Amino acid sequence: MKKILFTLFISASILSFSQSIISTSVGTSLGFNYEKSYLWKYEVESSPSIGGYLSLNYEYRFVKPYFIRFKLGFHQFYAQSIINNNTTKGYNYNFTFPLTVGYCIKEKWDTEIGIGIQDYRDRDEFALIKSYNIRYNLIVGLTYKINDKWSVELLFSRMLSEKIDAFVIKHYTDHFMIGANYQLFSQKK
Amino acid sequence: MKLYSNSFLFILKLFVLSFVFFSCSKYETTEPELPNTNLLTVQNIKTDLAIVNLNVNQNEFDNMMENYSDDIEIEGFYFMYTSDLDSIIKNEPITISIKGSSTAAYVLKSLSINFDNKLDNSGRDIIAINKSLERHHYNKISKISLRNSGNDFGKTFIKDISYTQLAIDMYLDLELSHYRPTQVFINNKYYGFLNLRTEKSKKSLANLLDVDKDNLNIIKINHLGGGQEEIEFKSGDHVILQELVDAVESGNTEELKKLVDINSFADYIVFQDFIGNSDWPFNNTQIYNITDSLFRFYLFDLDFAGTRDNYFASKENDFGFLYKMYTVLIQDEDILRKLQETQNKMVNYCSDQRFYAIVDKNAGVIENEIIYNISKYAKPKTNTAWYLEIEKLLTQFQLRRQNYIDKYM
Repeated sequence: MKKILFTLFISASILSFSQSIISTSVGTSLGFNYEKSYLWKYEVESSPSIGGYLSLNYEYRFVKPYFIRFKLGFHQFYAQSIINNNTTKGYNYNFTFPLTVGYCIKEKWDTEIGIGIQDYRDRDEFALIKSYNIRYNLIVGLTYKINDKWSVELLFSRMLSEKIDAFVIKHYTDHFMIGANYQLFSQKK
Repeated sequence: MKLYSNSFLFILKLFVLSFVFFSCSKYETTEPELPNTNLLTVQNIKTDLAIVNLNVNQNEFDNMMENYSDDIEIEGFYFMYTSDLDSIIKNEPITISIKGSSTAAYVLKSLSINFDNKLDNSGRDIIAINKSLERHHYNKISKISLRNSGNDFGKTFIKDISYTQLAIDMYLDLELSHYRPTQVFINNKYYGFLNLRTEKSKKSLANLLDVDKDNLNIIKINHLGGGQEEIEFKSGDHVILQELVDAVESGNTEELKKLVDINSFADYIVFQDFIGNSDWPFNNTQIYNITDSLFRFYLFDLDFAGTRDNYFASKENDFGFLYKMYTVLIQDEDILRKLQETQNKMVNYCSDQRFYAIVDKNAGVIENEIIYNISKYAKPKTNTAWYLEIEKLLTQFQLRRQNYIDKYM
């Protein structure tokens, strides 16, 4: 395995170029829970959430047509749920750190897949169990470049970690996101 | 280039501000109208629980509440009723103090009640005991606490009693505190929902074991902060207590075996580890013996159960008295086997379903009562917040149980 990685690294260094891109994204999200959730004996009736996200992205292009993308993200959404005739509504927020591997399908189209680490800590309460504060999401994305600076992105995120009801009542498991991406800085070697 | 750099800094600042600003977000819950607790009296409260009313000098009580860390004791009279207002206890003289250390700062404080005269509980009117060890006696009661659920205050209000019930159901070879949920009034004004608990004090333990209190020797392990503990000779013969400490410190397995009740030790260590009590073993440990009999363990304060990430057998506890006792005793193969058997018994008996049934029952008992605490103290804030805490309690148990199995089995 080490040999393969080393060969890939050398090949990448010899055969490819490298490019670093820093960009920022802003967009809107639609979230939902695809499984029923319960608080104690009561089923939670939750409506899809509507929210927004903001991210600062670092992209490293090393072997055409592949790239690696890392994001510092902030995601906030508004959700409403009804439990035993009691309605709860409000904003929720998560910090998210996705790391994805991408592929340029065509000149204007990119696709990416990866894992997002997300902070699910309850900030105003004791944690459920410390080791369960960090959760993992699958991230799948598609980007269309409008011009050198601007692009449009479509992302899907699904919670991969165990879907614990005490969490998913506040933290929806699936999100579709659509947003705009603006390139701040680019450097080629 | 400078423009890009400035843009980057601007975006970074925007992120930091977003994190700070949005961290203030809150949920709002719309729920049915809450009762006005200012209008509540013993006579008009709608409850299915027992009702306690303490008659005290209001100024003295207010002063005690305000200066809760000053160990103030006041005198008063204790009244207790069934939910149908049939009298259980009438006009019993008592001494009241605030109970707890950090949890005494909570707005609804736990109260320690010392009865001037021993109460007769032979009819189980004051506290019903559905299961108990043969060695336990509940006919006399000298002291109780009206507990705010400690660190579970404002959350489920049933965490401690539910984990205690699990130990009761298993007939663990331990001493422990039984419970009865109650609605409490001070001078016929609503005070709050509290759990009436039997106590672990010298007098209470003597009643529980039906022995002379002067024959009890009690050691407590208390948390000093930062994971450091102190061994407190709580009461009794210091020579006998020092003998136990010396046997642990010397590492003499044969000597320690002669001093410790191994069944009680195994049940105590394994249960606390199994439930993942994060406020233990450096705190909330009481070990006692009667004259020169074997040392046994008292189980109490389980309000941090289910929140522990590590395990007793790991070296993270190697500074502690209990861990040293454990390492000395497991040099004996029979004791090590006994601990393993106890672990198997614990895991097999304490299923998720069994714990769920206990929580379901306890939560069901107070589901229509918690609304008074919501109204008076906003602890918990809403019914929904309480449901969430109940769900967390169940989830914490499931996670800890699974992690425990993965670790040891």
